[in-house]
Parts: sequence; C-alpha cells; structure tokens
Amino acid sequence: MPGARRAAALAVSLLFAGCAGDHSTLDPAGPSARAVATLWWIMLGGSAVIFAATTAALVLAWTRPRIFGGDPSRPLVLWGGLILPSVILVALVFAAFALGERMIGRSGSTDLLRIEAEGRRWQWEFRYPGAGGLATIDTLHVPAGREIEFSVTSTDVIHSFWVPRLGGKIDAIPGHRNTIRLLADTPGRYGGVCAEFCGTGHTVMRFEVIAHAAEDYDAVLARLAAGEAPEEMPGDRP
Amino acid sequence: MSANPDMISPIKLHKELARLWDTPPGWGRFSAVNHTVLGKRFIIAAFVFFSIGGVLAMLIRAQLATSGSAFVGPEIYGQIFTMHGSIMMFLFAIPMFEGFAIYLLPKLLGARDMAFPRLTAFGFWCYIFGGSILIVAMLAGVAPDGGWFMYTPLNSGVYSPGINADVWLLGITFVEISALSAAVEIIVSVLKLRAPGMSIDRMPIMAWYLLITAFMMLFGFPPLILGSVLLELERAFDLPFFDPTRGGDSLLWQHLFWLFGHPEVYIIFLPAAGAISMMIPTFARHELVGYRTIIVAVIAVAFLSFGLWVHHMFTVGIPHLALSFFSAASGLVAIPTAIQIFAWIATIAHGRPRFDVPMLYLGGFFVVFIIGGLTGVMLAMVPFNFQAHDTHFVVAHMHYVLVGGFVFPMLAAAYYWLPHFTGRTSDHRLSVPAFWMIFGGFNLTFFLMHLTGLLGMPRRVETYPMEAKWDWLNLVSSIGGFIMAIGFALFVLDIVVQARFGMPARRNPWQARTLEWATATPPTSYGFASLPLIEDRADRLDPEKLGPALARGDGYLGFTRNGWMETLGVDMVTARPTEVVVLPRSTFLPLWTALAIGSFVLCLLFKFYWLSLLPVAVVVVLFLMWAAATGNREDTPPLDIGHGQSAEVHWQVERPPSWWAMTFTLAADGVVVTSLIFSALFLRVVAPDWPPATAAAAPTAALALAVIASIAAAAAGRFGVGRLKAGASPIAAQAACLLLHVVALAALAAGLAGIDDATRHAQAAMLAAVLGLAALHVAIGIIFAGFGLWRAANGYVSPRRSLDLRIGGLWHDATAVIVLVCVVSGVLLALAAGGEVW
Amino acid sequence: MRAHRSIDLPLVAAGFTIWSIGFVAVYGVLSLGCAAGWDTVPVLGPVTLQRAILVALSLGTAAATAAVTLLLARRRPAATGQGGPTDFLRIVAFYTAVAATASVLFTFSGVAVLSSCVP
Ligand SMILES: [Cu+2]
Repeated sequence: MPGARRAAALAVSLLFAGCAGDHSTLDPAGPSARAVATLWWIMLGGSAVIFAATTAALVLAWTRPRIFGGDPSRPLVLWGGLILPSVILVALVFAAFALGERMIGRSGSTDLLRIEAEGRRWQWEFRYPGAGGLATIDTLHVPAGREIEFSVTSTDVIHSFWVPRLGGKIDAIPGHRNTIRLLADTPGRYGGVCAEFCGTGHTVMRFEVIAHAAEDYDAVLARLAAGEAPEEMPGDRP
Repeated sequence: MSANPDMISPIKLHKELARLWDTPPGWGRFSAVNHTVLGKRFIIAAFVFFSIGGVLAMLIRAQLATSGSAFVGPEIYGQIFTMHGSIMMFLFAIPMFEGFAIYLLPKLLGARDMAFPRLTAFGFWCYIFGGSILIVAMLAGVAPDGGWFMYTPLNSGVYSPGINADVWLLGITFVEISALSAAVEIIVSVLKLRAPGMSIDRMPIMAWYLLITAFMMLFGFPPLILGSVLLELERAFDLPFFDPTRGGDSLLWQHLFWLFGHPEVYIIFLPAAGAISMMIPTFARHELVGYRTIIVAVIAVAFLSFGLWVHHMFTVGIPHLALSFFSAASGLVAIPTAIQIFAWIATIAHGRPRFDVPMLYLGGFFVVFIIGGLTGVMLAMVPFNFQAHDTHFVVAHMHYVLVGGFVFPMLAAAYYWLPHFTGRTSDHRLSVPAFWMIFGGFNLTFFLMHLTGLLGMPRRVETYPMEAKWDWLNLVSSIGGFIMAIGFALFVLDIVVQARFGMPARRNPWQARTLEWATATPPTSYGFASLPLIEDRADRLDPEKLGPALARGDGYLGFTRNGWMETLGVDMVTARPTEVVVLPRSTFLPLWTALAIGSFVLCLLFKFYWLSLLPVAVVVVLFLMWAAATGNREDTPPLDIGHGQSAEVHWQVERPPSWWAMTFTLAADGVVVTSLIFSALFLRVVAPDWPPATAAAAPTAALALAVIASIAAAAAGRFGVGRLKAGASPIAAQAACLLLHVVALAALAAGLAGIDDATRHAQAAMLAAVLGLAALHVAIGIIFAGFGLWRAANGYVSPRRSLDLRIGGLWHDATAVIVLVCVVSGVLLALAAGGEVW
Repeated sequence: MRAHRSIDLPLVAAGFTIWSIGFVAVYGVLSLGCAAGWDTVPVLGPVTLQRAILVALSLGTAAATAAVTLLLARRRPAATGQGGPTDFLRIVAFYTAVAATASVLFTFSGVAVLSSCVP
C-alpha cells in the first residue's frame, strides 16, 4: 500500500516536474521536501474526497432530502459536522506531529555538518566553520547525501532562508539564531530564495545551492578558500 | 396585543416619531446619529474602499501577469500590495460588517436604535478620517510599503525612515477606534436593547453571532492597538521595544499583531455566517436546524481562534511542542465550522428549498469557503506549513477563506436585504451573469495559485524570472482577476439600477420570519412605531401581521412624550422590560470629536508633538460636553411603557446600558494592560541582550505612594456613592477622590522622571510604558472625578440618580487595580534586570 | 430597583475560559522553561523538569475543564425541551464545557513526546 501510494505520488510529481522550475516543492530533492510532498499529495487526495462529499451532501439535501432519513440533522450535523471530521483531523494531526518531530525536533544524527547562513539586505552570506574562514555570497556549497544543520540569522531585517526542493524554510531574524536541517540526495544545483518580505530588494534576494559529491566536498571548499574556482561543478540537475 | 390606550392614528404617530427621530436635512446630515442612516453610510463607504482595494489588486495582477515585468518598480509595488491588504482588512471587511450590524441589529432585536447612537456616529467619522489619511497618503506617493502586517524591524525607523509606516500605524489605529466602539455598542445593544419577551433563548441567530463576534473584537483589537502604539513610540521617540540591538525583539510585534490577526479572520467570517444563518432558513422554508448547537459551535470558534495565532509564525524558530498546540488548535477550529456548514445543509434537507439570487451567491460561498477551509487545515500542519508559508499558496488560501467566507455571503446579503434598504424588489437580469463572472473569475485567479505557491513562488515579489516557469500560472490568475473585476462592476451596476428603478416591493418579499421585515421598507428612522412583545423564538414570527400592528401603535412605547427618543431596556436573560432608554438627538459632537482626534493624529504624523496637546485638550472638552448633554436635575417618576406596565428612566436604574458599556470598555482596557505586561515578560525571557548593562531603576517609595493614593481614590469614590445613596452630599468625597488621583499622578510622574534614558534599552522603555499606562489611567480618573464633582455640585445627582458617580466609580476601581498591577510589574522589571529598587 | 443577576449567562464561557488560561499557562511556562534550561534538568529517567511541569499543567487544565463540565452537568435541566432562558443557557454552558474539555485534550496531545525546546 505505501509502495503503491509512493508510486502514484511519483507519477504525479513527474507530471509536474516537466513544467516545474528550479524551485518546485513538488519535485523534491531531499528527504524533508519529499516527506512534505508526500503529505501534500495525501492531503490533496483527502481534501478532494471531503470536498466532493460535502458538495454532494449539499446537492442531495436540495434535490433528494429523503436519503438522509426522517431526521436529516442526525446524519448530517452529527456525522458530517462532528464525527467524521474529528476522526480525519486526529489522524492527520498525529501524522503531522510525527513528521514534524523528524524534521524540526531534536536530531539523532551525530554526523551533522554545520553551515552558517546570514541574511542581509539583499544577499546571503554562507560561512563554513572549519574551512579556513571561507565565506561565499549567494552561492551555497553543500555535500550531497549528508545532513547539514544551517544556523540562520540576519544582521538587519527579517529574511527567510528557503530551498524549496530540499525542504522547509526558516526565518532569519536579527538577534536570534535559528536552525534547520536539510539534506540533498544527489549532486546538483537547487534554487533558493528569501521568502520573507524584506524591502525593495526582496525579489532579487535569491541564492543557489550547489550540492557536490560528498567525496569531493572538502577539496571544493579548500579550492574556494584558496580563492580558486572549484574545478568540477555539477551540471544542471538531471 | 392590547390596544394603545390613547389610540391615535398610525399616520399621526408616524409624524410625531419622525419629527423626533429624523436626521435634519442639509448640513444637518452631518449630525446624523441614526442607525439606519449610519449603517447605510458605513456600507457605502466600505464598498468605496473595497473598490479602491480592488483597483490595487488589478495593478498587482497586471504587474505579475508575465515574468520580468517592469510595469511598476519595487518601491511602488510595495505600496500597492501593502495598501491592498490593509484596505481590504481594515477599511473594507470590518467596517462592512459593522455597517450591516448597525443597520440590522436594532431591527432584528425590536429596538428603535443602537444603545449609543452618538458612538455610532463617532465611530463612523473615525473610520472615514482614518481611512482618508491612508488614501491621501497613497495619492501623495507615501503609502505604507512594508506589508500589511508591518513586521519590524523592516517598519522600524532605521529601515523605514519615511512617513509611510507612521501613516499605517496612526491611520489604522484611528480606524480601530471605530471597531472598538462598535464592539462595545453591539454587545450592549444585543444584551440590553431587545424587544420585551425576546429572552436570550429567543434571539435571532444573527444576534448571537454578532454578540460573540463583538466580544472577540473587544479582546482581539487591544493587542493590535497596543502593538501599534508601541511601534509608533519606537519610531517617534526611539523607545526600543522591537529593536534587537537594544533588548527589544521583532518577534514581540509578530505576537501582538497575530494575536489580533488570527481572531480577525473569524471576526470577519462569523457575521457573514450569521447572515447565512438568516438567509438559508428563509429560502429553505424551514427554521434553522441546530440553533443551540450552532451557538455552542460559535462560542468554541470564538475561543479557539485566539489559540491559533502562532500558525502565522511556524518558521520563526519556536520549539515543535509549542507549535503543536497552535497546530492542533488550528485544525480543531475546523470542527465547529464544519458543524455550522452541516447545520445549514441539514436546514435545506429539512425544508422545501426555493431558489433565488441570494441562494446562487450562497452556492458560491459553499464551494469557495470549503476549499479555503481545507487548505487551512493543510496549512495548520507544521511540516507542510514550513514549505507553503510565505508562498502564493498562502495567498490563494487566504483569498478562498476571506472571499468565500465574507464576500460571497455579503453579496448574497446585499441581494437579500436590498428590498429592505430600498423598498424595491430585485430582478435577476444582471445578478446571475455577475455571479458567474465573479465566481468563475475568482476561481480562475486563485485556484491554480495554490500550485504557483507549491512551485516555489514566494509572496510579495514584484517580478520573477522566466526560468522559474511560473508564467502561465500567473497569466491565468491575471486573466481571472480581470474577469472577476468585470463581475463586480456588473454587480454594482445591478444594485444601482435596482435601487433606482426596481419595482416597489411589498412588505417581506422573501416571506422571512424575522423581525426586521416587520418595519416599513425602506425603514423609517425610528424603525418601529411601537415595540413588539415577542412570545416565540424570533425566527418564527409573522412580519406581515406584526408590521401593521406595530405601526398602529399596538406594542410598547407607541407614543411620544417630553420630546424624548425612547426605546426599551430589558433584562439580559429574561427580556423583562427594566428601563426606558432615552436616546440622544442628532448632534454634531461626534463629528467635532472625530475631527479633533483627526487633528491629533495629523500632529503626530507630522511630528508636531507639543502642538498635539492642543487637540487632546479639545477632545477632553468635547467628551465632557458629550456627557453633560444627558441627564436630569429632577427625579423622574416611573414611566408608562404601554400594556399597562411602567419602568424607570434609564439613568435611575442600577445597571443601564452606559454602566455595561463602561464595564466592557474596562474589559478591553484590561486586555491592553495584560498585553503590555506580557510583552515586558516576553522581552525579558526571549529577547537578546538581557539583562541590560545599565538597568533603569524603579523608585519604590514614589510608586508605593501612587498605589496607596489610587486605592484611596477608589475608596473615596465608593464612599461618595454610598453617601449619595444615603441622602448625603457626595461632594467632599468626590473632591477627595480628585485630589488623591492628583497625588497618584504626581507620584507616577516622579517614577517616570527617575528613568534617566528610556531609549537606552527595552527594559527602560518597558518600565516607562508600564508606568506611563498607569499614569494615563490616573489622568483620566482625574477627569472622571472632576466631572462627578461638577455633576454633584449642579444638582444632576440624587439618591436615585447616582449613575454618573457610579460610572466614574467603575473607572476609579479599575484604575486602582491597574496602578497596582503596573507598579508591581515595573518593580519586578527593574529587579529582574538587575536594576536598583529604591 | 435591582437588575436580575444571573451567573448562567457568563457560565456559557466557563469551559473555554479555562482552556484559554491553560493555553496561556502552558505556552508561557514552556518559553520560561526553555529560557531557564529546565529541559536539561532530568527528573526521572528520560523525563526532564520541563516535561514534568508541562505534562502536569496540561493534566491540571484537563482536570479543571472536566470538573467544570461535571458541575455544569449537575445544573443542567432534566428535560431538554422548551425550558425557558435559564435552562437554555445551562444546556449551552454544559455542551460548551464538553467541547472545551475535548479541546484541552486535543490541543495538548503532543505534550508528552514532542521536542519542548529548540536544540
Ligand atoms: Cu530578504
């Protein structure tokens, strides 16, 4: 059953992948984004059923009220208004709790790579602790297949760090340091944006994530720290 | 019903009442206080603002129609989307529902007007002047441009040095005065000004909806007003409440804003749901199913909606457990909403439904609102929200909820009550194509916009690259937007044509069973020539029979006396008549007062801070004139109200509408005080840079004196009332009350003077704010005490006429509590920050 | 002349008023606890001080709404027919309290397990 569902979700996402740009949450490239995309497809399907059922109830109430029995308020208000929505809601909320805990709760991983992201009007600066004071502007280099914890802050107004194909966003707030864990499955380039309105340059406050093969990553950082261009750049995403 | 004892002809009764209640012609129109007149003005003004907001929406869609658009630059675009949101929320939705409530409520309840007609007028002028400030600023090119939720530090002085943000903070707060006064007025009118016999279990369902909504406003608006005042203080005087470099926190703004902002959505939806609950029974030809269940559901929504605000802040870095409370509550609120929807469906299933234009628009409501509700539950789920937040998915969701939950029901309501407003029937010629254009255009604009968001398009970008592949989606949205705009134009045309040339309608054209259809259509200024006795639930009446009987003067108060405008006050629960409420005649005072407040706002806007004290003085004088215009120097014997019953005049009873109004105002005031203290606590716990290097100190001796003096002032006020009731003079006690307030004010001033530099750190600024709020209460206490003294000295009070002193007493009591709470919090704030306490 | 006084009208908000107080208390204490580091103070096995306090507060709120519901159940009229305004208000107050109790249980349902502070 989960396999079939995943296949269905995959089929639909492939449908969209064709028309999706570099920022599509429906074309996930990491576990966080994939989990949320799956949640989305399930919620979309459920919502379609609920919408169809409610609309059908309305139309039937108008045209064939007898099918609700002698006292229509019991099946409609009690079941339609209270019991069914409660059951669905409890299931959905608990599933979301479990997923949320995996995404933003405490991490079990001991192999976290830390990268600092600092938003300012209107660019992103990324710093790589342990890479000789390396800092890059508007380009973020990460290793593929390894979970990274981003420590995000701002020096002026509120921004929001978001790489849609990898996973959720986190706000960059002056005076606070927020964290988010992301992972890119494969080497490639992923679009990033500032999601929180931050003034006239908000629109152009984009950045690019380049995921390198894990075994090349240290070498890439070393070359960048030495001021050279990284020799080998992953091409456009497949 | 028994006959009117001194049977006069309905025509003569009408002329006598009209002479008293009608608004004067010519310039006198500006003195209107009548609910029918002002309700219509509110609705028309709100629709004008809606049109302005709609034009801005068209500009947004024009800009986003294609990638790389250069139609407007980012500076102008910021103003456009900020003004679109602000206008639709604050200048359209809330005032539109207020207008409906003001127009309909007295007619639904069987009263002749709202409880405080001058307050209605005052609220209207505050709304018009505040709204005008925003529109004029936009025309001058200095409209707010930091987004309609005004996040700091973007809208703080450093990053928005211009006047733009001040326009929002001052203009919107000015408009909020009308929202708060409407809230108090609606609560008191529903609870006190009902027809005799309309006990609380017989109220029309709309009255329940409005009552609960008004309570939400009473608790929802104060945090926003407080936040706006604090941010304006930061911008004007550099008090760093939200500045993270000096112990403030931008998250404080977000909490205060959304603590208002989420209930706001339900404040907009619930009155519309009330209107739906009125219309569906009429067209289903069956009374509302689950009257009691719906009331329980609406109470649940009202509370739960205050536990959702953080779902606008899921990505600000709050622990998952805390997010889970808000996530669960956000999902939970869908249940009472579903109960209402299925109660409406069940009403249709029970009845013999009949189709007409309002039902067509309600069909649009069902489809659009259900989709909005479903996407709302999706957004309540934390993991999904992390992706969808701040994208066009949210833009789509929000429009489904607000247009589905408010605009479609209001369009239905416009067609439903149009015959009541104009006395003309509506026909179907343009209303049906208008519906399909609005409905089709709306879904074309916003349905695929969910996908635009999921494909990664953030909100509030003025352009996007072609590679993002959002072009076709945005183009579809823009085309839909223009179709919807044409639909609205058709709607306006249709309404104007019908109002002007429609066939005259007979009474109660839809065969509704509620009281508003028992008035003449269009209604007379006084609504009911005599007030009905309600003997069944108020949605089971027969307006066709009731209307002529009331016009004949068969009900209560079917006469005039003393040139008074009278309506009945009843017991809140049983609706037994308890008092004759004498309402004020047309007056320019509300207009002058709103103008004076407007000049105060303009002084602040242009930074003439010293000059601003002048309009403040004028406002105080005008409010005193306002209060002085009522009352009596002699005791009034019990008054005949018809049906062989009599009642006291309202200023001679223990708890008339004005007493309740003061009580509810103080409840809202309590929310302000509580919010401020929680804000201080929040900064202490969450903000960076605490404790401050040099903390401001609290002079305990002076502050203790302030507490003692204000408690003594309250005691003196109470003692004075006791003296008065015992037949003695309250003057000495009132004078003592006044004097003690002066002492308290001086002591608080000394405390404030002890803060050497309130701009250094948020701790000092918060201390100043807490003590300043206490001082403000004491200063107003001085005015109340002085007014009481003047009333007592001039014979306006007697053992039976103690109301003036008792209303002042409520204020003195509240002030004593507030000063105590503020002083304790101030001392704790000094201690917690390591400051000296001496 | 004294206005008829009735506690029945405000009691329709009793259940959810407790929900509100509990909500503010639990959320407030959570923030305080994270600031004070209670999430690193073990109490019993894997249970931290933070967790213990939050669970206790949630259970306390649930108990309070349940108690109010029981009290209101006793005030509820025997028959649910046309009993006049007082009976009406008592029935509304009872069902609202039931809804509030359910709301407390659901709102705080994550309190025992989810991460209580940002790592
Ligand atoms: Cu930004």
